[in-house]
Amino acid sequence: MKSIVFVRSINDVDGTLTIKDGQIIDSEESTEINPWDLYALEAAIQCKENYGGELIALSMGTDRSVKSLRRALALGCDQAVLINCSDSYFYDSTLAAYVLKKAIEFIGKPDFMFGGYIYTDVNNSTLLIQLARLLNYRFISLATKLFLLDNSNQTISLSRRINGIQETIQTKYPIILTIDKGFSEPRYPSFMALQKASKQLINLYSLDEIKFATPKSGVKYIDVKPHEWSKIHCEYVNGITPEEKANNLYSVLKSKGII
Amino acid sequence: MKKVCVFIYCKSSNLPSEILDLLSKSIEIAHQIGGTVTAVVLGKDINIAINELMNYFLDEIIVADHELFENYRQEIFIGQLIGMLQDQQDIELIIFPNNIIGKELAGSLSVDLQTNIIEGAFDIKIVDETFTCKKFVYSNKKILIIVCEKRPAIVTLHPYSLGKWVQPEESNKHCKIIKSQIFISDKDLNSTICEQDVSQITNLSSASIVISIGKGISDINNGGKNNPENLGLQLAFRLSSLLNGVVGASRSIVDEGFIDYEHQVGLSGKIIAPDLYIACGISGSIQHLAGMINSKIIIAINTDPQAPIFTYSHYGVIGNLFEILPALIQILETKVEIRGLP
Repeated sequence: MKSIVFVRSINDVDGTLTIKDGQIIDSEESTEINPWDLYALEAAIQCKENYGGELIALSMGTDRSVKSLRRALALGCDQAVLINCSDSYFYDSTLAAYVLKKAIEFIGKPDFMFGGYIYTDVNNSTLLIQLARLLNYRFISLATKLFLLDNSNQTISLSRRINGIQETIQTKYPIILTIDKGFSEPRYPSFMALQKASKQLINLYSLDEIKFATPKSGVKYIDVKPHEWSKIHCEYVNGITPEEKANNLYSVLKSKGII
Repeated sequence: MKKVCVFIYCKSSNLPSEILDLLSKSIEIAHQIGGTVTAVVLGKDINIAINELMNYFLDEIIVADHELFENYRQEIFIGQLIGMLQDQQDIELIIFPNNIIGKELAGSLSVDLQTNIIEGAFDIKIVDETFTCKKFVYSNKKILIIVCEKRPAIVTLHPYSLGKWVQPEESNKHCKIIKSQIFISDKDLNSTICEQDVSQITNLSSASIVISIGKGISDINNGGKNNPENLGLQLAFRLSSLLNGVVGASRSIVDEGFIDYEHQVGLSGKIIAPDLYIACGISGSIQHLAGMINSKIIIAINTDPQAPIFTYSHYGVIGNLFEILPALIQILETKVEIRGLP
């Protein structure tokens, strides 16, 4: 059984974002692993521990993504692959999905692919569903449990939550899954494992090597602005005792026709 | 004629309130491009919702009403959606609600239609004949302005980005209802539901009154994680019951396991716009504000006078929620004029 876990180093959300000539410029600032990818890594490692097989950590982006791949290796991934491209590709999930499709075809299609639900810097959660559609894979989002029921006919059982309904589903692999926070608390790599991982090889490929033709994005970036909600005047409900404050709050509710 | 399509999934016989914003935006855009609006609706036993939808000045409603759409299954929903759109000409824009189902279908459809998707927009405008969207990035700390160059453009739009839309009094007499052919069958299902638990469903999105709790409820040792005996939780549920409201929560309380994710308000939870939002012990992170800023009246109760939530609230009570809420509950319990006193 072969599994891939997709991990991404994201920009610091307190950092800068620059646009030039309609395109997003790669940042040199520090990165961290996408918090949702930690759950995907945990699910992928548990799957490997429980059912065996090979687990490859895959990432896409600038060299800054190496940091996330080292963590994946320290946690028990067998191999790490980085497709070297601009981090800005993730702002256009269609473009990123096409690159990822080529990457998967290049390293070999897996039985399972795990990923985080959303990338919090670019605010995108459609990448892996687009990839599943491109590769004609089954797709389940926000899985909270995964059990291999029967390896001979590739049957699995999954739990997930959708529209407030908690469901247990039986389906088959090959499948692409995004993992919910409820799956399991992500583990931390030990110092020794991180040391060992820092010396392991990261397989680095260019877009040419995975046979991805010159990318053309269908979106253009116009501007980026800092965001703050408009402040409003707050009328304080006063009172000396809590009872007095509650009484005055009751009067506010009444004056507004709430009660 | 140019067309704006809007996708609606009716889980029950009622029209989901969070799509009203999408309808209003679709009509605005269609008007600007001199086009029409088509609602593409999937669900099971949805006649009532369709009748209600006819009041929203749409030009056309294409309906797929079938038992296979009772539960969301990505493989059959996308199959049906592609079937329903295949004969539609001149689609310029397809709008989906920015929820899990909307995002999955929008993403899949973008592959089939070989176009781009702009996810999580809170505004769309026509600028120089292009669809220009605004979306939050960097955990809501920045706004990115994007132009979608391909057609049709696919956008998932945040509900309540314009606030709550009021139902129009007149209906569009010319709204055409088209019953769609069913393009899928149970053979297309590639998964089986073995078990369903619906106990955690909340009416948070459609509630008029929301009592929300934050980290303030964990301030005292009163039960702890996953404990329904937690005093803060009990107070919030009692107050919401007295006001016919629903209990909401900040992310930290959900992450700590005090209450189910279905109650979470904010960027990674639900985006709501109730008539009254009472934030109890919530400091007001930018991510939480994203979920409730469009509420009509916001009341904050917090011990910290410097809490950012006060800057975005219409009314503020500086005080301990464990003292204010019991006192308010006691007053409400003694007043006979409360509507529907439980």
